[in-house]
Amino acid sequence: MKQVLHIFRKDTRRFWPEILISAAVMLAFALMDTNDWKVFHDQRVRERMQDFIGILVMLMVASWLLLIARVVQAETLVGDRQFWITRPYQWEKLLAAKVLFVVAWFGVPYLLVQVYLLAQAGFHPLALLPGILSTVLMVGIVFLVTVWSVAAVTSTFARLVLTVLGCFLVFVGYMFLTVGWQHGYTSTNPSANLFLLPLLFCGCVVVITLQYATRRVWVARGLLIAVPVLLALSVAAYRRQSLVERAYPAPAAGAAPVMTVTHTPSNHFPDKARVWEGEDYIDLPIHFSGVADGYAVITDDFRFTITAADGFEWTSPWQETRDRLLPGDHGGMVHLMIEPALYDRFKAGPVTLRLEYAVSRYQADTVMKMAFPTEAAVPGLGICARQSWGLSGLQCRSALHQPGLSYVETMWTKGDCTDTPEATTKAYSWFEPESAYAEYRTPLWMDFRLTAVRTSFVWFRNFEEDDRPGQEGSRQLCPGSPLTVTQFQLVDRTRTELTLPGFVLPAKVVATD
Amino acid sequence: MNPHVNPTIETHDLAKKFGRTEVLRGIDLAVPEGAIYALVGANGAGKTTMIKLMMSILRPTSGSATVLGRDSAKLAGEDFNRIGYVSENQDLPDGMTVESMLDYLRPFYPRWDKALEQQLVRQFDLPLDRKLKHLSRGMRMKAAFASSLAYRPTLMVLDEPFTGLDPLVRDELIESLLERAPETTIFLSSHDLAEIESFASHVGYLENGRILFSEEMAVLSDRFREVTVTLAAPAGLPPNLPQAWLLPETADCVVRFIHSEYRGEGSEREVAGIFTSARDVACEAMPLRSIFLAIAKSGRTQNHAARKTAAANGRAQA
Repeated sequence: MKQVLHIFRKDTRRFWPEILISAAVMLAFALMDTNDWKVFHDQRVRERMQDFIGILVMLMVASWLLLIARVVQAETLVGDRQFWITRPYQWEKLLAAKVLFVVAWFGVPYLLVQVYLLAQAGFHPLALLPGILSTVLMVGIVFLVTVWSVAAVTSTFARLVLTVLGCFLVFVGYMFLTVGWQHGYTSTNPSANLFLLPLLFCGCVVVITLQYATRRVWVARGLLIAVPVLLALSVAAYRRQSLVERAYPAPAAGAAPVMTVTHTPSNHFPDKARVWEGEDYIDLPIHFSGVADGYAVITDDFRFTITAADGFEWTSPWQETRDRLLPGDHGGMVHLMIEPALYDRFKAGPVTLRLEYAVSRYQADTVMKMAFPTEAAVPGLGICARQSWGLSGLQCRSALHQPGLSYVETMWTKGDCTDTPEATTKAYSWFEPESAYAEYRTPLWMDFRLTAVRTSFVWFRNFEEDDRPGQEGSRQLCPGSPLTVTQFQLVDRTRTELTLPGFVLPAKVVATD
Repeated sequence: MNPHVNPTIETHDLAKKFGRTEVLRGIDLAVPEGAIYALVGANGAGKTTMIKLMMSILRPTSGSATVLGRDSAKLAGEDFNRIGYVSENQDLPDGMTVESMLDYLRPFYPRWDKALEQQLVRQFDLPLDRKLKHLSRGMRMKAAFASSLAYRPTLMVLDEPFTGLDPLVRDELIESLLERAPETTIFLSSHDLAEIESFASHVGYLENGRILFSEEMAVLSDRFREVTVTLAAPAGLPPNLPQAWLLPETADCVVRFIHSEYRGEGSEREVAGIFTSARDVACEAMPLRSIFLAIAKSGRTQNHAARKTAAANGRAQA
């Protein structure tokens, strides 16, 4: 322990400018981020403020990069000229000293920033301490351990920065290539990739430990290259279409469907075929109904199969879609993407079209009714304030995580918010956390951001009312209006389908613009 | 060298390759306790690689080295409490002042002698408040010496410690080393014979990654003689001269060569036996520099001859 503290004291004395810079940027971030949940009446002011916070976040990350790189490379693990390698350093103690430095000068200040932000946002930080520690730990795993592992195999800060930039470019290239490979079809990740963070963490920790213990730079570099390769493989594995089928099993024989889909072409909304960006699209008007009371259904993916009279069959990959359905009837439109050659193959005669939906079924968990707040705690959503610029809505802040899936209803008031409004109309909104979306689907322990206070918006709409001319701008959300928040919990995932025998592909309409 | 004394450093068939380049080959040497061992060789001979293998900075491709009874590849942590290492190529903590470096290193060493540290600072006239990056090369080397001698290491390993230093600084450093010599085994590398001749007790000669010899200085000096044979009449060199006779040459009635296995009267009788018409045989002791030059030249001559023979054999086979 003596050696650990001795090295820690030396590093602290040596790197006080870097510590000071990091602390100053964190302090500035803490002070500025409290504006993130303030209600602004001018959207431009809010955007400028968010731009500034964005710059501070970048500066904060850069200052951490500098701090980690400097302290790790103070006793550089690369090369054969460092004076310390022929001194009685014990690698375990050297590593422990560096960990202590990071905990003391990154972990503790960052923890204090989170505590300050939560307190300023109206939450009780002590009650949330495990969650705050988890956030700090997660940022540590994702950012610090990764940077540390690169710093452990590079000898200078410049090389570290070049390596990080190189990794970034490779990542961008990988994303570009994988999106290209998918050929326009993207399915949801049916389940969170639980390997991603443990793989990143374990891979980086192995590299760091190996470097400190043996200083076998090329072995460590090889391992470090293997980590992103494994991550990419893991991501690719989690995008496999077969996972969708496994995660959304067909309903048991005889079981009632969670909802019904019907094909509803009309003169106003007929079936259409069009060309867009080299692909053909068939637009089908559809209708959803049959969701049981107390439930909600969200469509996650769909795919379709076309079978020609001669037996030729083609099935599309699963594709992402998003319809949020409550009990009652809901109109919709599905866009079937198909290669032109296939369209030409099937257009000749009647075909059988089978449309399959992969859906998630949710059950209403709690229903809370209260008066629309100017600013107050709304159970399930956090501390919410009325937001009145542009689209009307609620701006809510929550501690550590976003609220879960919720359906929010209130009333719009036409005219002033007086005791005797001219008229009121229903307004509603779904709130879905980012973690529920395909690209971000994560379990709670992986749902974290640089700030412990999460801001969410609930924008109210009413499609029927919005369609009426002269509605926009003449109505508002008034404090005291009834507000109902229904929270939902996931029950199961399944499939539902629609089969259209004798379907004739509509003729293609060539867009004139 | 007494083979019964446990050597401080010992290597067995030590070899190191960088890719396909063989930098060291089959190195066998032993450095007895208390010796001042000078590893000599031209630039690029492999001296620094050899030292880095001994200090566990590099790992051997094959063979082994033992330092203070420990496998050198496993040297780590507390082992360096007993080893001092100074190299001309070493990166020092440049951001520190001399004083802060000494303050920082002191707690690492249980045997650190504060009085000795202060004595060395005075002896070297070290500016305690100056950052290492602002010191001259000589001063940096002195600071490195002070930080390595202050804990009274059992073994000091020095890689080209005097290269590029002015004679005054070099003498100061040598003096400081000699003061510790009785209690410390010293292993140093150098490409300059003159700078080690005055104080080394043992010497090893490294050429192209091979140790040509490794022995006590006194034994080496006794072993080599420059032999001048004066003949009654001019004559050529007789065939099949002993291998220990290096660089033989003849001019008129005089034959000269270096005897590398000189054993007093026995060797003189051997010379007289081969040159039966010799009127006089003179055997003179040689300075270290001449011994090394003779070894180096004869090595190159033999290599050249071996290459020519191999080429001739190749042509014959073709």
